Amino acid sequence: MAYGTLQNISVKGITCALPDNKVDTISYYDVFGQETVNRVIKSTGVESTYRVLPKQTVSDLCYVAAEKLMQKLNWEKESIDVLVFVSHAPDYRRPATACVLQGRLGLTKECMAFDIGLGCSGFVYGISVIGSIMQNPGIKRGLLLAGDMSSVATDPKTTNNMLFGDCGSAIALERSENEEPINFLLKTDGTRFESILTVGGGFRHPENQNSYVYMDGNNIFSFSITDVVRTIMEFMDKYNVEPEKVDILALHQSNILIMKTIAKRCKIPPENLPIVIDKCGNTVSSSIPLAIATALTGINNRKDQYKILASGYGLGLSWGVVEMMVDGNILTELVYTDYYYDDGHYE
Amino acid sequence: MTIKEYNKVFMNVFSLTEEQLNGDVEMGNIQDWDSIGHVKLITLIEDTFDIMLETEDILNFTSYEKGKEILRKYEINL
Repeated sequence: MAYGTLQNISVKGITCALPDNKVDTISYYDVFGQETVNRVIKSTGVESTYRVLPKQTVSDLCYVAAEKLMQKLNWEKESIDVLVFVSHAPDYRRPATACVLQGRLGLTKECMAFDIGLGCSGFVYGISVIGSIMQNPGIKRGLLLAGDMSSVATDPKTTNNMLFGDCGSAIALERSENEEPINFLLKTDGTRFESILTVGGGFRHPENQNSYVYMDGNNIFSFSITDVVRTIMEFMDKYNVEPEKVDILALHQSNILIMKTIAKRCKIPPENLPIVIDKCGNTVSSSIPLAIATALTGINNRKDQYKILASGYGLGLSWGVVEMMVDGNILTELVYTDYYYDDGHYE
Repeated sequence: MTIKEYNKVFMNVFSLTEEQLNGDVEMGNIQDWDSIGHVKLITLIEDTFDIMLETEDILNFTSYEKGKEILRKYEINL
């Protein structure tokens, strides 16, 4: 069983960067018709999304988020020991985007950096992986960068294109004593990998140029309300998580009705379920940090601590749950940016 | 709870008239009854009848008639 506990890890801040390009879902009236668009809005909750600008990639969003976060935390660049980039939207086939970001951010050569290729489960996997590395006492500070730009990975001729937004998040983690443990549970079912699939761009079918994602809605729905719910309940049972003590249920922002269905089955009050899918769409691996940052940023008088139960689920199929306690004074910020990195290869 | 409320859910979710509600109303026959329509249907059924369906019942709730059978398990006789 992929259960685990991380000791002495503190989440110091979460910054999310959104592209400075808001797209209202009703702007699709001309493409799909008013009736269809209104039905999709009502059923999924997506009223708008933020889309990357020309030349902008998710690494640019994560770069901006990481820079802001380190600046606000007064973290010296040389203090970062590990950087993990979680995304399905690398800048290049090779090298790993984490390596490029390590250089762009001016981190030292003593910093380890690598990518994790996961989607909607990326945040919970990312926390588990970076936190596990940070169990080594010599590794004191880490940056988890999670984001995606699925708006360009979905076929604009299908209604799925309305649902995805782009975002890059940066999460700062630090080793410190006397922290509440971070618990996690991770799962995979690769027998259902075709439920969400992009064939083009990989090496198995080099002739296939279709880089749009295919999604089997019925399979995903069934997965969300069966496997995901059962896993959250299994986790709550294992770690004695009392539903009424969960301050924030940070679910992957897949569909507003599915999220409410999951929360209801886990007996967690709907008011503790932050919703950002309405304004930002499904932002894949950044949807959970975006939900947490939005929820905490919106609170004027924060409590001393917040118990967060997060669950990410999606392509792979891959899913997991993580429970962590964060300080009320954790730094959270949302920024909007038109920044992109000119790597000198555009012309 | 009455059959009228049950029908109203289907009429609301799938834009059907009461006359259209019969044994042919099932997933696959109704244009809007896809995964998105299904979650909307289940949400509204649960809210209307103040119940929480078991996971298997959600997945088996694939037609107008099957839905009535499933609701009997929750002591809702239509």
